[in-house]
Amino acid sequence: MKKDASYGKRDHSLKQRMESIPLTPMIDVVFQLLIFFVLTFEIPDRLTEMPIFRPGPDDSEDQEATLLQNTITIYADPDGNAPYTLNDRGSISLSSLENYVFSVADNDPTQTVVIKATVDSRHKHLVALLNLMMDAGLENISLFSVK
Amino acid sequence: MKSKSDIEPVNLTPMIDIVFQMIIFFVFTLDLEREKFDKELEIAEAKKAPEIIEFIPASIYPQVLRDGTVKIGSAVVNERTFRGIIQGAIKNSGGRTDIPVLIYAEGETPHKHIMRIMDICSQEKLYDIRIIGLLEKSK
Repeated sequence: MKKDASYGKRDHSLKQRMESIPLTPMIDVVFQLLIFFVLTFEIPDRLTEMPIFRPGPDDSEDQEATLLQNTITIYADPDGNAPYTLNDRGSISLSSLENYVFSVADNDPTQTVVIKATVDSRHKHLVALLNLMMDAGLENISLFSVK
Repeated sequence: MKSKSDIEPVNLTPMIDIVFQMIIFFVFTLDLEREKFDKELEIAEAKKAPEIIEFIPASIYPQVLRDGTVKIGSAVVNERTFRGIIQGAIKNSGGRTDIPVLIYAEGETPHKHIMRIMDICSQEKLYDIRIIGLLEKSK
């Protein structure tokens, strides 16, 4: 009985000490953290990636000479025309290219398709073409830059 | 009227619980890799390409603006600095040259600016070059 009473006394003093711990600074800090996270939180954009093969500066001429087929060139389009040509045979729209790209992929998705982008062409046209090739399942895409 | 001693202390435990849960949520959803991209840039859509689920650590993310400005994170870099960053990344990875370079460029950027970046990468023997497209813009 005596033991129990002293235990109860100790418990009571511990409770008193616990009650005396000031929680205010911790709550202050926690709220500061919360406000920081709430204000800086933003949902990120969902992004995609399109791998390309970029020939090294030394071997670009050799590779260009061997890869004459399946070449799509992207031009600048100041007049809003279709900026693509297929195997240097006149202007072609992206929707027309779609058939070609899918037929190439159906035959052999591992065959190399060469994109030649002129220096003044817009990046969005390259992205649109790469997007089409990814959709078709083409795996080997080489990108050359031409003047 | 109640005296001061009659007012019971407010139980703060549930509130602290919720606040800590919220902090844990924000800490775990914080994606520092994605912070490397400037959301103001108008990048071209590529909805059919594979989505980037997770960014490979030590990748290099050059951002190319339509006027040719190149940024790494929020810092504008010139060609020399960009080359130095690449060389540093190769050195830090023990000479590995399979470090991916993800080019995040505005749709209206002329290709010549992208070409400069890719040329520097290939001169430094980095051939894992990827073009980033937009799948879905967050609201």
